[in-house]
Amino acid sequence: MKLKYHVVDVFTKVPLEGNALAVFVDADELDTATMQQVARELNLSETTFIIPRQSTAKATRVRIFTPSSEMQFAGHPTIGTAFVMRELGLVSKTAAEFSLNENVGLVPVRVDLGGDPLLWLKTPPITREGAYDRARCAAALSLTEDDLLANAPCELYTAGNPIIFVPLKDPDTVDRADVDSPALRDLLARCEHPTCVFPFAPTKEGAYSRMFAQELGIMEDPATGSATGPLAAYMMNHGLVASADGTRFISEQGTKMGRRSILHVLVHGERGSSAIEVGGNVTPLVLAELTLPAPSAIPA
Amino acid sequence: MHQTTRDYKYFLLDVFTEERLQGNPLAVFPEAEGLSETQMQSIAQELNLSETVFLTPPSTEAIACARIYTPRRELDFAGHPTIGSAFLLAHLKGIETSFTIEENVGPIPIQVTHEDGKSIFWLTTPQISFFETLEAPLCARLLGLEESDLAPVTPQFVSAGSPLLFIALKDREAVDRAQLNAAYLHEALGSVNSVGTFTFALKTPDADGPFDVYSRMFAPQSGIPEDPATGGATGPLAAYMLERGLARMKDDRCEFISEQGTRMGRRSLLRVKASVHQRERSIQVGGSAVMTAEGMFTVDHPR
Repeated sequence: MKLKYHVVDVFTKVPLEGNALAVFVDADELDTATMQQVARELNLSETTFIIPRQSTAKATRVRIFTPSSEMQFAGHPTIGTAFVMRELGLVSKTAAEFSLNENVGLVPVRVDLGGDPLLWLKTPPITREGAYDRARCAAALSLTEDDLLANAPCELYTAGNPIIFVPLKDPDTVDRADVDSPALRDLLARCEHPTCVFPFAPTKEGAYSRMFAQELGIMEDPATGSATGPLAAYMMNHGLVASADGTRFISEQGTKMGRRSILHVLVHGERGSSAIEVGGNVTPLVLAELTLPAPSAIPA
Repeated sequence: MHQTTRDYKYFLLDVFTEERLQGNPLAVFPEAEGLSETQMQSIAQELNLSETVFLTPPSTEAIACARIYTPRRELDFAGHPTIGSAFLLAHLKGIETSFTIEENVGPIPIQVTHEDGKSIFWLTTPQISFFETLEAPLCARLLGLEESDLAPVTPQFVSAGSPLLFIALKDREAVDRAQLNAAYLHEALGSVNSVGTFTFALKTPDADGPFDVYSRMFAPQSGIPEDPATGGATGPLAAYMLERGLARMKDDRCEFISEQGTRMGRRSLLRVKASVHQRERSIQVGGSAVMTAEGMFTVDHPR
């Protein structure tokens, strides 16, 4: 059996930047074990499978796999898959909103129509969960307290995945950050769930960011959709960006690792009281075809 | 900026297996002429496989020049990328005899044999060096096992370029139970700063009869929690086994198959041929490959 798939770069307009994603466009015949094997074979941070047989006119069924497990929901795979759905005509190019049916339920995607369409996702409810010791946060990033931004705490937020925001004084300092594994383990020792560390510096455009998630097996993530809504909440709470309804800014992430990503933020309601949306462009890169082994050859 | 786009075909192979989605994955661009080094590195980072190979016309009588990239850097030589490239080149060019591939380290001769209609591609293992031994209790702790799980053979660092720690276990079941405990890793790097821990057991207890080996390789210190197929470890494995009496030469020859990666769901078969000729021992590691996917990559070129 041969299966077509696309590789796209999400949160960028430039090929070979942003966050890579593989999208299989017709996975009707694949069982769960095979999807997992295929995701491990390709070894991208995520691989998605569109399942036409389980899709309706209102929602396209999509399953998301990392190389090691299936996910209920994830940001960059949703945006990348939505882009491929538009390109293939699975949804109308004039539709300003449509839904993906993921394991978590219906996920609406909004589109700013145009030449390079921006695809937007609403961030789930965000909770603020307390401050972390500044010196220990700095040490986990091989930095000192002097490198931290004054008058802004190191704080943990979650919109599903816990993230410790570490505000730094400027983008050069963000680039200097480097995980110190023992100090990071020490910092995260009390955390119940795998927690990522997100250093950033405020800029004229919004934020210059990086993301480390060693506990999830991710040395550095080039673009983290699920961290960007909470980043916006943090920045509004501490007066680092405007918080009025309609505020827009960007978080630039992944540049240090050679995968510059632009994550757009749009605030709905004062301080995002109605919603915080995170959006991005998508760039197609590869069209490929994978041959599956005969079913009997796949070990259970 | 004015740009032109060009399409580059590439293949996704599974190496050291004949079954798709098993073995060790590898991407190969068979016609990579025109790509800059920066682009090759970016593409290898994009594809995020352990290695991506770019084939260009050779400057010598080799059949191709191979540039090998991990997602982070270029390698001068590597085993499974060489076997995979040899498989693809033989397939695309219809070559059935032995040939040479040019790599950064120099010309790499590939021997080709045929078995049941399939081609096997062989690489000669470079000079092997033996280093210090390590105590059994530490090795047991390192693998999360009991001392009684170890075979009665002293663990040792052995290298064919990249030093590895070899630990023999009593049986396949113990190999499957092994789980590297990173807390003991720094004590188990040796004076050679080992790049991985290779653990194995004989599938049958008799080294005199036909036997095969069941293996796993852990290399968290090199960013690889577990490797499904390690060509560069299999030559030193054979040397260690011969040295420690776990394998014996018969009529100056010894052949076996190392099965690796099965526990992680990526079963790989690495063939080993050792021989003695005029007191010189030579070890070759061979394997096949299968094409799993092919794709077209669109790359921008500044005009």
